[in-house]
Amino acid sequence: MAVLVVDDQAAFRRAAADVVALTDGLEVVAEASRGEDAVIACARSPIGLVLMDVNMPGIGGLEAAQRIRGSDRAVVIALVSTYAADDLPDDVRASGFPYIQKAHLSPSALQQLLHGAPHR
Amino acid sequence: MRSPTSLLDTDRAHLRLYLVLNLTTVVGASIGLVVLRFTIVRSNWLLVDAAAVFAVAGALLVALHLLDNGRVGLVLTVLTFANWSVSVVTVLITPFILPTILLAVLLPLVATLPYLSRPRLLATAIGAIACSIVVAVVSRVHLVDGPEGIASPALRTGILVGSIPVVMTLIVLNVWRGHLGLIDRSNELRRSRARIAAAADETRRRLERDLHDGAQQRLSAVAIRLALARGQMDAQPAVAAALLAELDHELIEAIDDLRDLARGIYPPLLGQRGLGEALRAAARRGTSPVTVSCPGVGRYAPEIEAAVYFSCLEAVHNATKHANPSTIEVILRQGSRLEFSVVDDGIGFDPKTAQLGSGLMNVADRLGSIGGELTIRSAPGTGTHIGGAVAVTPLQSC
Repeated sequence: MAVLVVDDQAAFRRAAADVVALTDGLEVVAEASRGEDAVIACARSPIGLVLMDVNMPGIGGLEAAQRIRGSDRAVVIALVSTYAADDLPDDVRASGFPYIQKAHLSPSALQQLLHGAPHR
Repeated sequence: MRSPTSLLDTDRAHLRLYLVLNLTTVVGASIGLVVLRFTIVRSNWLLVDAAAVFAVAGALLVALHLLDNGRVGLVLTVLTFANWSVSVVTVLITPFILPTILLAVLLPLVATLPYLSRPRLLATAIGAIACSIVVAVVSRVHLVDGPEGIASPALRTGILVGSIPVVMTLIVLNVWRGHLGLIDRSNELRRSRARIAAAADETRRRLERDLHDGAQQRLSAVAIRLALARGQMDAQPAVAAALLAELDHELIEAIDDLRDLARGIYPPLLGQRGLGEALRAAARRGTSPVTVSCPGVGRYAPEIEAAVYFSCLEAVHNATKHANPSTIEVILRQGSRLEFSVVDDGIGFDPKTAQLGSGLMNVADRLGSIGGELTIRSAPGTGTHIGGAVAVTPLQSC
């Protein structure tokens, strides 16, 4: 499955790429540092999973996720952030997108995400 | 946004206006006395009185010159001394003018009230009371065979009726000016407190953002890689080793981020070694060439050192960002006050037209909160001098 990692912090993009590389069946095909670039990347090539940071400059992660979902209902989009789930804004919590706290990102978390188990 | 230094300028402008009004009144009175001597009341004592009043005009001109040079304390002394001296001379020569003179004795007190420290206010008040007693006694003693016997009752009444409203108007104007000044100061104090609170909130927001974008991100990446490495230890030890090897870099960068943050909150050198060493360390980290000189500067209370340190830093930051300087000098001096100057040779600006930025506004507020003051001197093409002074002496010498 093709994975897009979206985060304005290069350190996290590298760490996320390492996690995806060690998760069976997943491969990072693209990275983006802004939500706008993520929307373009998803429009250009088929993406199966998007790891989307919530806090980014520009349109932000939630808005980018909603635009991508609007064009492709099949893509799995997980919101990520350093904040605890309880500290997330109301619109993020109510968005319906699964959320993974960055420090808990792991191959097992991604497998649970893809097999539909809730991970908040 | 109104600069706190403009309040001082407003006070000085009002004092200047008062001096000019007083000068006009005094010159008018002097001329009036000369005219009286050569028309209705032919007594040479009037010429003596005119000379004394004219001498006050001279003193007021000196006061205006002192005010232009910023010697406000001396202005107040000259004003008070001149007023009371001529009051005694006038009532000696023309005792009937006592009601006007008793009002005039109050003038130095009401005119200088906004500028006086408590001890000086007490001294001036006692001086006014003493002067009023002196003029009252002198008016009854008749030491001089002056023009009072020559001037008709109608003339004396006319002079009193004419002079009392003039002096009363000057008193009322000064009281009104003092009242407006108090309101201005109170409003500025309120605005300053609001700015300080807003600056503290902004600092907290920036801190949260810096922590989130820096150390938090790096440490999250470290946590991810550690978990990955742990998971790969048995199955793929080479992969685990590679993951662990990357942790060094992320941890060192996270430590650097946290150290920079801590330094920005309160630099350790400032607490341990004082202003000189802390400023020299900050200068070494800067992007512009900065020299630091602080002869005779010792240690001070933490809030004083923090205020002066961050004020200097803000001034250096301002110069680097806006002035395109080739050199920046930071000079600290301990005389009767702790003074600092940040001088650059950059492009300069016109302080009368330029709006004070939020950084320098915070500096002014911060210095004001410890009883200090900020001065800014600059002109296009001639560099900029940002200075501050705090009335403190060192806790100990370095």
